[in-house]
Amino acid sequence: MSKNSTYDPFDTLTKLTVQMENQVNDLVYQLTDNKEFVGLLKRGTNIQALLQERLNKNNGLLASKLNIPTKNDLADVAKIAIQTEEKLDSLEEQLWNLTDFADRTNREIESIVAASSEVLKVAKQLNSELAELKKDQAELSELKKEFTKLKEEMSSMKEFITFTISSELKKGTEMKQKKSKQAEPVTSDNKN
Amino acid sequence: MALISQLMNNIPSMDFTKEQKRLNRFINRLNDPKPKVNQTPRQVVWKKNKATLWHYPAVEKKYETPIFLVYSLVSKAYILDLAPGISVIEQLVGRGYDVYLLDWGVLGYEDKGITFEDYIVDYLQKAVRRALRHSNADEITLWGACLGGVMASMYAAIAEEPIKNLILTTPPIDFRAVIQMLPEKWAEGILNNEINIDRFVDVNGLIQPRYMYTLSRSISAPINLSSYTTLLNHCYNDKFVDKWSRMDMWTKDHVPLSGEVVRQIINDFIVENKFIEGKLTVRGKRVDLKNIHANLLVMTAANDTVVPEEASLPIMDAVSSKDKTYETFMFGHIGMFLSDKCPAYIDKWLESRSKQVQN
Repeated sequence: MSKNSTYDPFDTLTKLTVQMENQVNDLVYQLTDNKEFVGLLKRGTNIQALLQERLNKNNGLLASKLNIPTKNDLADVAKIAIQTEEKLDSLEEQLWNLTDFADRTNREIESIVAASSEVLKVAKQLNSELAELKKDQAELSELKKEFTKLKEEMSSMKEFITFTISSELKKGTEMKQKKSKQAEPVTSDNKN
Repeated sequence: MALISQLMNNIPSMDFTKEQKRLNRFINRLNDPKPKVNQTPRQVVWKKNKATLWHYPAVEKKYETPIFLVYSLVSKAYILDLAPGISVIEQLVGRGYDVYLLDWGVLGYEDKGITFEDYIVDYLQKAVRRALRHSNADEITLWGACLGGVMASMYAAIAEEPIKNLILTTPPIDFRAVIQMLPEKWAEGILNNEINIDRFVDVNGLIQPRYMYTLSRSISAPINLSSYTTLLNHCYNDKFVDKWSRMDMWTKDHVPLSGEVVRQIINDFIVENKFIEGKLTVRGKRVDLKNIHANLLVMTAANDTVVPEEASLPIMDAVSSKDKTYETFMFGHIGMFLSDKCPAYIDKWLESRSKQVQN
């Protein structure tokens, strides 16, 4: 070691402890890794159970004489509290389900309302179209009346024109005949 | 004289200031207040009996699919949020995930009869439903750690809820492989029913934390001194001492376990090996791992002295998932929850398997 290096005794201590610990633990496992130790463990747990059983029994007897609750009595009360908590939880879960169901129903209603508003919109549109159609129809009937009137006027005009033409034609024919009658005696006088 | 001088030169000197600080810190540590844990902002979503469903909102939400954490029944869940900087939850929320944690709480004597079935149907399934409703998400990522991994797998096998991804960290799926870690005769004693715990469970009801601590010590290392000498060695380092204190507090902070759960672990999971053989039922439904179709990520620790890789591997072939990933990290059992490597890997894996927030 050089003069400048510092000595850390705890480094060595740690290394030694780790080594020693491993060896001791190995030794413990070696010493206990046998049937005898397992049997001892079995007897130990049985004795502990027996002693605990008697202690519990005596504790119960003493508690009943003193009229005080045992640990089991308190545990029973605590269990009731836990059961109540579970019931509350289950109620809360049912409430969730109901809320979810209500939400789903609301959504469905909203979609139905949306659909029906569409239908209403279409109906309104149809109504307004119908009103327009009626208006058109009224206008058309007016037009029809006017046409009929026109037709009537035209037919009367036709009659008038026919009458005028025929009377004119008649007049013309009569005039022709008159002219031809006037011309005929001159010709016979000449012959005579 | 020259010889003495040479000898003196060769004797290493000691840094007395450093040694003084070390010893002061070591002595003071005994009077230190308990470290504060669970510092990531969170809120209660649901409470049932002793269990609490916590919500840790994402710092800046990037993913719609939340992560639901299921921790083990044998120790406290604050290992997942031990301290800022080494908190798994903090890292996940920082990466844009909403995190939910089901903390089982500390059981009372009245809970001695709770079984795995109760935990899965009455607690886990309901909590997942609550988380789904709370997050308004269409699907969820389920992350089970240690024994929580077994529970998450059991639930995933019977779940009606949309589980998109299933992440398991050191899950003891094959309990037979776990007890192979014990000395041979102990394992034989358990398998041959020589150590029958039925009467012990009947009488005690609730298995007290001191038993759980002794059991965990006897499995990992019955004698433990190196932890304290390591503390002494690094006592001048405040950051190390802080982390050590937190770890020390957590390793001794066990929770009582329901007697019925212990009975099920010994009789159903270890002796009869029902889980991996698909013989377990939960409220009449068979727990068949073939029913799991979610994307699966299994993470194990190479230096795990509690759950060896062989105990976790069988799930890879047992599930029906098409998307399966297996990853081993060079950590111990607890190191998996203290490093930023696991959350980073999970984030990378989940990125393409989670629904992203639409802007």
